Amino acid sequence: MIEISGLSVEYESDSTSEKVISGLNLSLNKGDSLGIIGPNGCGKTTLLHTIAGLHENYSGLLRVDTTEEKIALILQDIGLLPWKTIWKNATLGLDLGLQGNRDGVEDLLYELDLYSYRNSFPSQLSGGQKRKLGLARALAVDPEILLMDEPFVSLDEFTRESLQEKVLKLWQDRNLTMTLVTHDIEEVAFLGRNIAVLSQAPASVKTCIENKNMGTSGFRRSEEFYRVVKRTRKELP
Amino acid sequence: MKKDLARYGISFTAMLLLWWLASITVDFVLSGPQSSILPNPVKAFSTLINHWGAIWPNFVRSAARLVISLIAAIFVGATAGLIIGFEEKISRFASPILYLIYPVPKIVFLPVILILFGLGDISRIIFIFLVAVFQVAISARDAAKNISPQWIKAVRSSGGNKLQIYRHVVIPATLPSVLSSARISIGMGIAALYLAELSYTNVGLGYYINNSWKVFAYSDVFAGILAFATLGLGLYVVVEALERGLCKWNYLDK
Repeated sequence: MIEISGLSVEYESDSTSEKVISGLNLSLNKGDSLGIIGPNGCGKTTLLHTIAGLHENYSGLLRVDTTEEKIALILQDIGLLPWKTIWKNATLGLDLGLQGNRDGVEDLLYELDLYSYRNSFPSQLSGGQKRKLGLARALAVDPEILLMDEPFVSLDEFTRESLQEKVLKLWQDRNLTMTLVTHDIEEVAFLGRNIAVLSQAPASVKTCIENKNMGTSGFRRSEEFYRVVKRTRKELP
Repeated sequence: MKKDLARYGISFTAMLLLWWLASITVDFVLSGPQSSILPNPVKAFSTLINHWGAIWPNFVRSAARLVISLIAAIFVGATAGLIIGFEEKISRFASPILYLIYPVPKIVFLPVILILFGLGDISRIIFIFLVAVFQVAISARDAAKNISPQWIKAVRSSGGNKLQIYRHVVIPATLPSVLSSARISIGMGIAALYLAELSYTNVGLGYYINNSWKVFAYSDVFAGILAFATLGLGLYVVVEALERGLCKWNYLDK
């Protein structure tokens, strides 16, 4: 479970400080999914990084019901290490001492059609394959909470939808608690059972939309899906 | 690979032809013993082969001085450069010192080094080390400064500590720059080696060349120069092989 109450984050440089998040409240149950959407530069990434434990400089309540090792974060530009092979990138967390199963990583690479590339380097992969590798690296450590920052940005529509389906399946199969930050309204409606629309910076939650039919078969083509898309668009500042 | 060899072959032949032409011109313009001041390539290469027995001990001693100095310079320079580049607080103090000392010609320190460490090999090694170490340190520092924050976040968000960030990000990310600067250091190191072998020694390629000048043995001078070139080429090949082996991701067919 993730519980956030009155969260504020400030960036401080030598002479100035800038408030990026102000009094933000959110909560997410175990095994549930949350899609976060909001205008450019409103503090979505900062929120995700704060949940992941990358920002220690915050005030307010942030309670995450698991250990830091069980939180996996997929960065906006993935952060693949160019000098490591696909296999070494996927097992990075395990090499750094996190718990996980190497056989499980092999299965994951098969599932994401990356196994035949295991000895290649990231620069030899396509954009979609890089995104899949980011997903494999995050899931390799058997996380309980999966945080994704614009995971399918700059991909073509077809690849994006196919990756969204894969993520949905992995979320359902692994009982993950998932939080996704995106600019894509359809993506947030497809993957978020709860949708938090953020205000302009400094970020706070403007509206929370419940999307309880998300994940059901044929949801993407349903009336309900378009209703959620329409409502989300209306709520965006 | 074949194309590379062909290109090297063409360049080498062109260089020999120019050398030959220069030698003929000098021979034509000057007269007396001075006319042989620039021997042709055949003469230089045959002297290198015929006098190899005399050149070899000098070659070995010069190679040892150079290799020890360069290994120390690469190790110390890379370590210091990485830390200065990556640790902001250290960089604030250390970078100005680095920039202050880097442009000073290190030859000015030679008398001090000779007085402090004597006239033996240690002084020569320290001198060559000083010439090369700043080049490596500055390259490593610049490379460490340009490391993508996303790579560090990737390791940190996977539970990596500071040491693991160095091992998995800082060292591999800066390795290509360190090896490039190592290549530049070979040239600088050989120049420094020659200077360091001009006096207070009776062994080394610098000594061999200088001594041959004194007795007007110009073919031996050029045999010594060719031996220096061979030493440099050998080291370049080693560094290139290291680069291809350790930085495979930089040599991919895209």
